[in-house]
Amino acid sequence: MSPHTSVLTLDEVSIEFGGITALDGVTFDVRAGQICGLIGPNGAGKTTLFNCITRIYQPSGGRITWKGDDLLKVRPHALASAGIARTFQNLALFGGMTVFENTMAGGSSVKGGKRQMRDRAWALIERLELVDVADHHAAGLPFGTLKRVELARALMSEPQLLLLDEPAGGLTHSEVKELGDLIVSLRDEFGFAALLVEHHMGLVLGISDHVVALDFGHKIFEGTPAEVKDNPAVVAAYLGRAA
Amino acid sequence: MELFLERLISGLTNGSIYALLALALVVVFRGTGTLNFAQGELALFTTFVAWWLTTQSIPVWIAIVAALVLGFVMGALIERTLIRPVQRRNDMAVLIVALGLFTGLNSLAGLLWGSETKIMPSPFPNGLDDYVSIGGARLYFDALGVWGALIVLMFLMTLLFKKTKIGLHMRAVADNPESATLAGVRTSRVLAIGWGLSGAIGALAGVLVTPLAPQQLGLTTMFSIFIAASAAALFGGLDSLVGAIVGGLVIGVLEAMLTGYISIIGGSLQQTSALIIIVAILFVRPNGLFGTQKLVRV
Repeated sequence: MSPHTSVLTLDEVSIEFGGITALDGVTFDVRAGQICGLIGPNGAGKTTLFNCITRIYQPSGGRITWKGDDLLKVRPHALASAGIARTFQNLALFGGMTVFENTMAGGSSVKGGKRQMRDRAWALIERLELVDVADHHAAGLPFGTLKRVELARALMSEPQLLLLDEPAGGLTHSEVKELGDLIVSLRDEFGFAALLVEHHMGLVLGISDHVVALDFGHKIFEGTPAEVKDNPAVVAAYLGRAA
Repeated sequence: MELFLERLISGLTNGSIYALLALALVVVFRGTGTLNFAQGELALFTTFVAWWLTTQSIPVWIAIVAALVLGFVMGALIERTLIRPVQRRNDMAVLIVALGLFTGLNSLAGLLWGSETKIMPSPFPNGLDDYVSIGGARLYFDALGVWGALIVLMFLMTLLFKKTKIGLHMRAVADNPESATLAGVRTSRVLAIGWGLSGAIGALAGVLVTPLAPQQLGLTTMFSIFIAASAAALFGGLDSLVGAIVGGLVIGVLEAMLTGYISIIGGSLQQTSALIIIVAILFVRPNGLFGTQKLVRV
C-alpha cells in the first residue's frame, strides 16, 4: 500500500448523548503508515471518537470507512481480524493471566498454528523487553511495563491501524520519551498506521506526522505538528481566550 | 479411628460431588457473572435421562456419556436461547430465568418419569464386598470412583484453561469481556461453550451421586446437593476453580464430622450446621478463601 493512501476515513461523524453533542461533523483521514495525533482539551470528544471507531458507540450521523469498506457494519470482535487494534487509557489487560498469555490472547483473530503463534508472541515479548516478566501475572506489574504488554497484545493481531488511547497517561517524564521512541520504531518496523489520542503535547508533537485538534466536538485544526503551536484556535482551546 | 476414617471417607465422597457441582457453578459465574440456580435441576434432568437409557438395556457407561453430551447441549442451548436475550436487557432477569428453569426442569422430569424414586445403576463395582480396607475402615470402590472422577476432571480442566486456545479465550472473557472482544475473541461463542461445559460437569455430578445409595434418584435429590455446592462455590470465592473444589470437600467433611461426633445435630441439622460455619468464615474473608479481591482504579 502506498504511504499516501488513506486507510481510515471519517466523514462528517456526529454523535449525541441526550442533549449533548459529543461529536459534530468531524472529518479527517488517517493514511497508511502515518502516525496521526488527535488532541484537544478534556471533553473535546477524543475518546468518544475512539469508541466510535472501535464500535462501542454507534455514530448518529456520518460515515467511517476502513480501506474503502463501511466500518460501521463491522462487528466489534471482527475489528481485530480487519486489522484494527487498540490500547486503553486505563489499561484493559487480563489481570489474572500472565504477560505471555495476555500476548497470546491478542492473537485470537490471526490464523496460524499454535507453534507459530507462540513463536510470534515470544518475538514480540523480546522486542518489547518483557522477557523477564513473561510468566508474571499482569496484575501487580508496574504501569509502564503494562503499557508495553498492551502494545504486545495489540501487535499480536498484526494490525494495520493501531489506536493508542492516552499511552503517556500515568508515565514519568523519561518513560514518555522512551514510549514515543518505541512507538515510532515499532511503526517503522511493522508499518502500521496509528491514531494517537494524547494530552501530553510533547509526545504528540514529537512523534506525529499529522495532527487533528478537537474542541467541544468540532474539528478546530488539522495540519503538521509544526503548525499546531502557532494556531490561534488551538492555543485558545487549551489556554482559554484572552478576556 | 476406624469410625473417624469412615466418616472422613464418606465426607470426602459427598464433598467430591459438591465440588463437581460447585465447579459447574464457577464456570458459569466466571463467564456470565450470575449464579445458575438451574444447575442442580439440569443435573437432575440429565441423570434421569441416563437412568431411563439404562432401563432400555443400554450399558451404564454409554448412558453416562450420553448424559454428559446432553448436559453440554442443554447448557449451551439455554445460554443461547434464554440467557443471552434477557441478559442484554437486565442482569437480574437472568436470575429469574434460572429460577424458572429450576422449577421447569424439575416438573418436566416429574411429568416424564413420575415422582417415585429410582435406582440409578453404578458405573463402578458396588457390591457389599467391593471395598478395600484402610486402617480398618471400608473404602468402597464406588466412592473411590467418585474421587477419581473429580481428580480426572480437575486435570482436564487445568489442561483446558492453561493449554488450549478456547481455554485462554474463556479466561480472557471472564477477566475483561470488552477487551477480549476487541482482541478478536468471539465472546458469544465462548459463553455458550462455558454454559455447555458446566451442563456436562453438572450431569457428571448427577450420575455419580445417585448410585451411591439405593433409591437415590428422585425429584428432590439435587436440592440439598445444590445448596451445598453453591455454598462451596461461595466459600471458595465464586470465581476460583481451586476454591470450588476445596470448598466442596470442606463442606462434605464438616457435615460428616459434625453429624458423627455431635449427637444433637443428628441427621436433620447437618447441612445447617455446616453452613453456619461457612457464614462465620465469610465474615472474616468476604471474598471467600480463594476469591479475587475486586480492586477498582479510581
